[in-house]
Amino acid sequence: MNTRFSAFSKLKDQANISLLGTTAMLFEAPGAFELPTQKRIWALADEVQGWDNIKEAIPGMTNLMLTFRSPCEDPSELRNRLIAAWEKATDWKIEGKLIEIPVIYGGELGPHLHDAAKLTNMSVDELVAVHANRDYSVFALGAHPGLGYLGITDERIWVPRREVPVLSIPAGSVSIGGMQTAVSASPGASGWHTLGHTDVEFFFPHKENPTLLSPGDTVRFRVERIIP
Amino acid sequence: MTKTVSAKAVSEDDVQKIIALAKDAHVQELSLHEGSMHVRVVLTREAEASRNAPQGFAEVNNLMEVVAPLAAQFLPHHPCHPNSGVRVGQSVRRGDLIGFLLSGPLLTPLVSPCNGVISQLLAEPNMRVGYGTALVSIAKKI
Amino acid sequence: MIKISYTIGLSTIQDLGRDENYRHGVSIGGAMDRLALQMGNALLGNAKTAAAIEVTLFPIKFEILSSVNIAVTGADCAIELDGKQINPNWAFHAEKGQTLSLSKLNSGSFAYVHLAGGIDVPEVLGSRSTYLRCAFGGLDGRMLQNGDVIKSLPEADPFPPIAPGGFGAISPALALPQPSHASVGTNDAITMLRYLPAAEHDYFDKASLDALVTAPWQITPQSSRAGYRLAGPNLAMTDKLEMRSHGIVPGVIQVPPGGAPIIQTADSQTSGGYPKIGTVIDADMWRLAQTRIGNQICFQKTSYEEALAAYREMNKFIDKVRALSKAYRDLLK
Repeated sequence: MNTRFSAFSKLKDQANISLLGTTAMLFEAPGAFELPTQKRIWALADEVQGWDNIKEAIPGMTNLMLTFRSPCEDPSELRNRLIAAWEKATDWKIEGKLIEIPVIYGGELGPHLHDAAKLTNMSVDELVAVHANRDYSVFALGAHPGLGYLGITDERIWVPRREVPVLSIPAGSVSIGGMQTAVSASPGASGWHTLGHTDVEFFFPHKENPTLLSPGDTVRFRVERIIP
Repeated sequence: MTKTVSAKAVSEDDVQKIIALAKDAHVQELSLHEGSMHVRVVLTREAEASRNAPQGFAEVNNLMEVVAPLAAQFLPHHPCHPNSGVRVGQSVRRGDLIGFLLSGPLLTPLVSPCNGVISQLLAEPNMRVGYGTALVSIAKKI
Repeated sequence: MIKISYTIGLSTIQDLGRDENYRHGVSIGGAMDRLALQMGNALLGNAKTAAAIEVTLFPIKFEILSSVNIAVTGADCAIELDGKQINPNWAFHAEKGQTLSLSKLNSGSFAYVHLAGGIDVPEVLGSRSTYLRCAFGGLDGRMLQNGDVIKSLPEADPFPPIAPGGFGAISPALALPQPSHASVGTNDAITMLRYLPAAEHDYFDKASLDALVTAPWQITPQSSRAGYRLAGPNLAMTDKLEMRSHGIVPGVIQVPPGGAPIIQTADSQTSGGYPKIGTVIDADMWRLAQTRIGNQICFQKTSYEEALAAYREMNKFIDKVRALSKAYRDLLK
């Protein structure tokens, strides 16, 4: 593991199931943050979504939150069922769509590009090249409407979250944090490093399927321009 | 018609439900027994007549008696405003709030049926009162 | 139909919020005090999911454009109809041309103005709630402004004008008194919140776990419909954990690296990655919503069984208000 990252983190080495009050339960898969684990999470979500009293099964990053229609009466029974379902959950076969996102890196709308380059001991051009050089899987949607959590970034650009979150970044901000990258779909606070900006829209509240991205999709960033 | 029903347990809610059912079925009187408890519901013609009014009242020699339209706890003031109750000698106008009935979490108002002066509080504050119990008497202003 | 004749802002249309859109990253949203919202709907016999106006800044005034049954619930404020005082948590009839005003907040933060039938705005993603951040739901996704006309939906069970004097319910604070706190005791000036431990609870050091349940916490001005930020002792962990973004729900107490906890509320993000020390139980969230900025709260650890019991008690209260309101309205018919 990247030393810069291991310095501020400790892996949870076994599946962890915890309660969020009486309204939700959180399942966290054991082991490293990687796509095969996430595929099992998607498969688990698919399975659990049909269970009684489950309002939603919501994938996070190698974890799954279940929300209840009414408070879960017997959490230990659900816990056991969840562990059994996880053992059976295998690769989720999905033909996601490929979405290309043109990005202008740096400038006013990419205020942390230089900070991130410094943190990763790279030049701005190198950092951009590494960021845009791979296809990212949409692991999950969350935080705010339409935001896709994308993984996994190249080890060379793993960076901790910012010490002080930025109060508001605009919609379309492309940022990195930890082993992840994301594009914000609406303006709001962020603790990540904002590298650039795209004009692509991600959230359509009046449509039946309100988001551009879905878990299992692939995102490819295209360098439109770098503002040094 | 008089009907006697034995009930396992009678709560305040049940009584309200029974009253509603009795009205719908045009039953005029029914009794419920359980051990030492005895609930007797009598729906008088006056009660029928006052269904459209927020509460019942009876008039005797220029004195208006405001009576409980349902079994409840009598509160002279709103529980959030302890200093707001009416006092003997206070002038009231038709439609003024002169107290409350508490039934479970429900608060219903007692409204003055006339212009006048509060002549007497006939029920103790917080007392449980039955249907038709006289609560406040008001000297009508002529 | 009513018109906003005076507002200084921050009032929005809210209902019980958006279900089943977490997967799209859409918050539950809805009323901050869900109990007060449910009470108003129970008094008027509205659908449980009916929307009301959530008022945060006082005074606010409404001109009644067509006669309508109204209920006002939530925060204890001065409610007047044409200058005549209306009781808190009350349902009443208002005639065309009258003015309803809410002013002088005595206690609490959020008041709800309900119209019989519920407020008529289009549903967006299954709810009429306003989500200001993304500007959708409610009335054009924005706060209510002077001159806005608010319509109501037809009533499922139409009811004649509520008789003079109206009727109402006792305040939830009386019906569901807060339990005594182990170190604070019984003190209505401090809001007591029961919580269940969350995933990272045991990774906090002993001093922090003690401080959590003994210290009074102040609600800071950085609080909003998304979360209540608390000031008090710093909470620290024994070890740093790798946190991966995961779903969070209203009630979750997150502790960012600075050590000052944040309780997630209605418009909270749908996921987060800060360590969670606990989750405030559902049955106490209305108490938090009605605790004003600058006031204090304290935490008490509870058991799952107690949390379920408290939830049932809260629902029983609402069910009673609904059943008895219906019986009373029928009695007046």
